Amino acid sequence: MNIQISQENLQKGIQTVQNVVSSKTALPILSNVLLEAVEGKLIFKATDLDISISTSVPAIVFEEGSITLPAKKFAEIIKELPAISVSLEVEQTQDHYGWVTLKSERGMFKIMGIRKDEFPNFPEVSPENQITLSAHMLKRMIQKTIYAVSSDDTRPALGGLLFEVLPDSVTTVATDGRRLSQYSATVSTSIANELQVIVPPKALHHLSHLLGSDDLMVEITFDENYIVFQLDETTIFSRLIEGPFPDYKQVIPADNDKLIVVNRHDFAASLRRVSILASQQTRQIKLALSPNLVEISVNTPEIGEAKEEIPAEYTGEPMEIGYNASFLLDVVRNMDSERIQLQFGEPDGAGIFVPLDTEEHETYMALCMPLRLLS
Amino acid sequence: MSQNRINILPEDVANKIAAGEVVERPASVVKELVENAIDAGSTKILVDVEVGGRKRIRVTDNGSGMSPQDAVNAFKRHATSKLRSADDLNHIVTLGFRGEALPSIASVAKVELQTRTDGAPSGTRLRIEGGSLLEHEPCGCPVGTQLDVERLFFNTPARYKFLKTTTTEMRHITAHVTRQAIAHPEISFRLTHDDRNIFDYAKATDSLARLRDVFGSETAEQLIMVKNEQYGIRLWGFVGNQNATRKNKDYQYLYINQRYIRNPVITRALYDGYGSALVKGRHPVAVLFMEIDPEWVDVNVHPTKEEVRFSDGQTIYRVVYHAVKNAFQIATESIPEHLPGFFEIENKDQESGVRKQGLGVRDQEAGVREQGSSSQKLWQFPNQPRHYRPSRQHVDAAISAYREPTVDFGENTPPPADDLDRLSPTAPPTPHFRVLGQLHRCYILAEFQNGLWLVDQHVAHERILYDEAMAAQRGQTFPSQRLLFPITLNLSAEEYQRYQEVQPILQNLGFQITPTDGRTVHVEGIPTSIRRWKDGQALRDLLDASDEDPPPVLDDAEWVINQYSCKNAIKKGDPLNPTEMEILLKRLFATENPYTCQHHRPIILEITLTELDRKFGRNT
Repeated sequence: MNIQISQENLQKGIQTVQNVVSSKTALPILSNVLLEAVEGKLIFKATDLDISISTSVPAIVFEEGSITLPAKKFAEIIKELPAISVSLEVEQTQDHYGWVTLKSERGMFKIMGIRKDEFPNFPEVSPENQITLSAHMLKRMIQKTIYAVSSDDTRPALGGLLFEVLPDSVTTVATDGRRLSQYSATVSTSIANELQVIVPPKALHHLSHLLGSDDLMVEITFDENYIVFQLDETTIFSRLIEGPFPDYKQVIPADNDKLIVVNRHDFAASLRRVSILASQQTRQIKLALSPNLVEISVNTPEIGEAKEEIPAEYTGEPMEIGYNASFLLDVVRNMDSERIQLQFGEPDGAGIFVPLDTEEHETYMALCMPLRLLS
Repeated sequence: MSQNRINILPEDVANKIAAGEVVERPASVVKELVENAIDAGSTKILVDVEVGGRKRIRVTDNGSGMSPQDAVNAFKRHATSKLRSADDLNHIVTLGFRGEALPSIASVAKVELQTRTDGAPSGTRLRIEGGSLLEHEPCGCPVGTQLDVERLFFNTPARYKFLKTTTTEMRHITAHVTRQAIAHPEISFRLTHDDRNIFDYAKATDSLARLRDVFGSETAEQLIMVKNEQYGIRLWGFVGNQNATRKNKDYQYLYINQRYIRNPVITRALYDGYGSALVKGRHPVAVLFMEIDPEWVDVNVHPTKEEVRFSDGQTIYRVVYHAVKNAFQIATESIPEHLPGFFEIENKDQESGVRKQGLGVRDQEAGVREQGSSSQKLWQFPNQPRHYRPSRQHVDAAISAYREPTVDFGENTPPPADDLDRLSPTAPPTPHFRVLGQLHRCYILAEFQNGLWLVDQHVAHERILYDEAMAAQRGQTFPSQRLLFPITLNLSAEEYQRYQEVQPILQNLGFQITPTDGRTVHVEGIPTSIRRWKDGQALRDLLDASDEDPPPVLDDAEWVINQYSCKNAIKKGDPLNPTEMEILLKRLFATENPYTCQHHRPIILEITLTELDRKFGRNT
């Protein structure tokens, strides 16, 4: 392998894949990044076996070839190079190794690399089920729901974000058994039958970092075991979490009849203040509804008590409902609407939070199970 | 040639055999003679030993003494003034009773007895060697009894050969006399060895004063008073605080009806009562006196009478356990600052409800120290001559004089809920610390004023959950996190049984469980502390606790709470972010005892700067 490439392109390539490289791994090869030089481009590949990523940048290729290099060291060198053109040349040795010589205008680095043979192959996926979404929409889909993904490793299906694809919509759902978030985008897809996959949040975090421009279109491929996101020159593969995802639709109440509209900023600010005095164990706060008023209060033995009222559009019966303040704060933090509607039924039942000022083609809601108040 | 092969043993042989059981070593002689002296109502007992008891053991008392005839009878086998029929065995109140001691001793030594009863014109002197009465004559001597045992085992060389070193034998003798001295502060005891004083305890006004003589004032100041009266059992005494633990059990003295005893049930209850205050591998200092209806106790298990059996061990366990535990709770939670009223009978201005600040032990010490200087002591022993019955009336008086201070001392009655609220504003302040990070996903490192803390993340969280669960058991309830996906569990018969037993605790913890049909339950809410609900497996794990062998001493509630706190705590290997670690430490310091977990494992390891400086060879 022998190529000429700009520092800028090298930097872009390594930056894109670097985060996937695991710093502590039993397989030394996984801390390396794979470089492949083919027809006018340099391809970067990294994997931690669950998530694989590849990207390519333009390069002048004198001789095709490949090598893997310690990702961290390589990235540090590239980062500190001046913004000029450099050459990369691989000198294969007899064994598994190879010497990579990086030459800049005035310098030379020789790094020991490992040959490609040991680097895991990337999955091959069938392109049968594919949809295309704008980066903007995909970003919202992920960001507004991922907070409710469960961290309980004993229930793997809840440890990921559900992607549900219908001919006319794409929905993401997350739940940890105490709360749930659901985002739907109306978009026509070429998927004939309903499709459900559960995606590990780690892959989505990597993806979110790469969804720079809103106009970018992302092609998503659903395979039996993998989901693949293709954006420009970059491809992210992620293993899927085995389902089934619980039947979430069944637990979303349809008959919550106590509807309250509040200003999200007021509500959030009150919650933040009042929850300072919530118990560190239960995080319990109380919402009390009365006509045109929501009172947010806390009374924690050994800590203190507080209450605040915020104006609300409400005409129903007075009611009290207990909540984990952190759950409610997560809800309001992930909404960008001016006004939100709170939908309650029984004090023991699920409360639903719906933004009223949404973007076109989207519906979004968050659900929280209450804390049962002490009598 | 005789066909009969069964011989009736001559009396001296029978006595020698009995001596093998009763008189094991010089200390046994001392024990028997001192017990006799106590039973005779003495107020002064002198024990003089020469060469570890090989050469001479002399016990002198000022008790009731014996008439000339009694003096002779005393050396006959099964001659006793303390028992008349088998029925009396059911309510033994004296220390000796078997009537074996004197004849046994006399059969293996050269014994001289001098005794005189009060009012008798002259005393009696007897000399017996190897069981044979050699001399019996009137003599002049003070009221009381003096027994001089010379050349023990002179006629049983095998036994003599097995005697240990003088030091060892003397250690046993000292232990025996000390046990009696602790139980009888109203008697002065002096023990000498080869004319040197081992100890000389003056008559003391109360047990604590005697303990100060025996343990030294430093340890005595670390004692917490213990008392309980339940199920007709009366218990009182002292246990050391957390700082007063020992590496062995030498500082444990248990008495039933003023008889020193050993009993695994009581010991277990003592340790369990300490609970988490006791670090593993350490042993508490404890002096416990119990008054039990003699019918409940079988002391006739072994001739040395140290081992006892109870007809109802479970009840004994409970009484001891609760006494020790309550004492600790009071000591660590709510001793009024200067402990007035606690030990002083005549103190009217109790500062009720003053909760002690800080974490530890120092205030308790101060509290107990207070007792020493108070004018009127709680446990006083009038100087009346005592006969057989020990001090029930004294304990009675003491207990009735004791005005209940701020805390319920008796049964585990839950305080009313609003009480908890009132207590709250004075919760101990959290010490200042700064979380430095997590070590191997196992320990939290934190900087504090004097150095570094290493905190075991699992036991720390376990301690927090345990405290919360215990609070729940005392009646504080926790909210229930409603589940989005309620779960129906089919329980096994054992699980269901256990569920029914612990249902109220589960409910207070925050479980919302509704039984449906048969052994099926529907779970709609769980405690907020449950991190890994595992689709109901977490609950099943709690109920399955019965499969493991629960220690017999824990009731179901505590067993379940133990399981709950252990299984739901953060595990070794769980990553924690700085905020989580900080919250964890804050919550830890809000618990009753942030330093030790309920299984006696340490939670926090402290490395002080001084220690570090020393290790780095830095001169400060």
